[in-house]
Amino acid sequence: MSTHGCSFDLRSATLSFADRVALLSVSVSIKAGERIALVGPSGAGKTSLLRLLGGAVAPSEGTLLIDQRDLAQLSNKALREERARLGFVHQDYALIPNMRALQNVLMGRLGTQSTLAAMRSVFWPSLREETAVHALLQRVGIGDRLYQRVDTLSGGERQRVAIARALYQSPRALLCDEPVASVDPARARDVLALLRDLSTERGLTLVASLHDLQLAQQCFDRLIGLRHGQVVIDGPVGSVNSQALADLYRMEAGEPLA
Amino acid sequence: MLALLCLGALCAWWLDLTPSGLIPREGGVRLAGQFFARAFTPAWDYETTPPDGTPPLVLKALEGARRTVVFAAAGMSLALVFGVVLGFLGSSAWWPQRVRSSGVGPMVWIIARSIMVAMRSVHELLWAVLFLAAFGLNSFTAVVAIALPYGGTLAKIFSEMIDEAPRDSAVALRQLGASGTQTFLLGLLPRALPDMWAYAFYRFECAIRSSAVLGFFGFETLGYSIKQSFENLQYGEVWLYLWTLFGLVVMVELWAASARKRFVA
Repeated sequence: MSTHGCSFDLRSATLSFADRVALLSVSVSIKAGERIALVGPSGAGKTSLLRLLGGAVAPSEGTLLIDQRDLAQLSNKALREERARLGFVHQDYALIPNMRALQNVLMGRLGTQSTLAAMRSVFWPSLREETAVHALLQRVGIGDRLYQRVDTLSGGERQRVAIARALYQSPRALLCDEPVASVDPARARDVLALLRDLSTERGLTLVASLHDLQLAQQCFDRLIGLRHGQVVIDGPVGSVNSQALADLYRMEAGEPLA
Repeated sequence: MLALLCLGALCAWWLDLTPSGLIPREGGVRLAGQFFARAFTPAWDYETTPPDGTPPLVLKALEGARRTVVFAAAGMSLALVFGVVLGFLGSSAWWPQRVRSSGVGPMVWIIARSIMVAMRSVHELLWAVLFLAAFGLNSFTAVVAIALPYGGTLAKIFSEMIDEAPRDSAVALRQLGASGTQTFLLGLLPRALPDMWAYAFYRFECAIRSSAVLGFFGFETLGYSIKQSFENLQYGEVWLYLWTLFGLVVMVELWAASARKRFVA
């Protein structure tokens, strides 16, 4: 199991699509094991930044170095291997609803397996694999859900399956897109505390987008604020006050209600 | 909606449809009356003494039912092979971006789609007529006659179900490093599988009806017996066969329902 996180070094990266610019010349340097809260209004570029860090999209301009390696220089295969070590927890969890929690978590290793080995593992898991998945589900607090179909689980439980799937990748970083967007405040604290503890235990670099300063201060080291695709706040969580955050979210006249 | 109604009216006019066409011919009423009168009193034994050594009527019906199912199942199995292979190749999701841009993907895709259309634009009864001329009256003829149009239909529906399945899980698997094939098989296919499963069962039900009707060409399914008894005006026997067919369809329905309940990908 990986016990050290990876560093990210994003250098003046721009990410543009046909009709809009999602990120504009963003430079962010993230140390291994650092815990980063990503804040900013809807459409500010939080998801784009996470996808960029996860290797899902390449920057239109600028470079991304993960552990000093330039992703643009990697072959397709090497890029796949790189992505296989980055755990991504999607906002909608993106699980297979008609399969068991066990099978969903087992899919975390797809990036390192041949298709045949993957099918064998998902449909006929070995005792060792089952034990490993069970241990992970236990760690995230739903050990008793191992054989349950995902569509019979509650939203919070599904999210934990998604976290377990990311952990099964033996990742060096956890990238979480709005992990607490659809849970109540008490559960939000639980989930973020879980992510923080996992990051500490395994030395994982953690980047998560959220909207609450208090929660950010409880569970993260550093806060990065995005607005209109640009970094406008970057510093230790303690140095950011609620006024700065309010400014970040301030609506501008004529701005569409996204 | 209004356009559709107008089109319907126009077609009726072209066909020279008049309400007088619905008045039965002389004797037609009597015939229909005699036929439907036996609906709830099917014959349990032959209505005329059969030649010696003929099995009892009920056994004959059951044997006809067995053959009907066997033809349908054989045709359906082959159709599923066609359906899965062509359905995969004919779906957009099967072709990853890089193959698509190089030109091989679109070629195979278009070929697969064309074969699918060709297979299902000809009805199974027409296929049967063609193959009867080519191969004569053997079981192969009936099985292929069912397999071709059914394979084409399954392929079309399967490819659409695969392309319309939610993509979020596929995107997630791609993100964690899964290959194109892995993403298709584990991220996308499981999302479409329950629907594909249900549709295949429905087509099996249709295959049973087709298989029965192929009896009219001389294959020894229920249709063969129905045709014989009907031509001999033995309506009681016809109704026994029809009820047997009804029973078959109900059984497939129950089987499909229980299979769907058990279904865990």
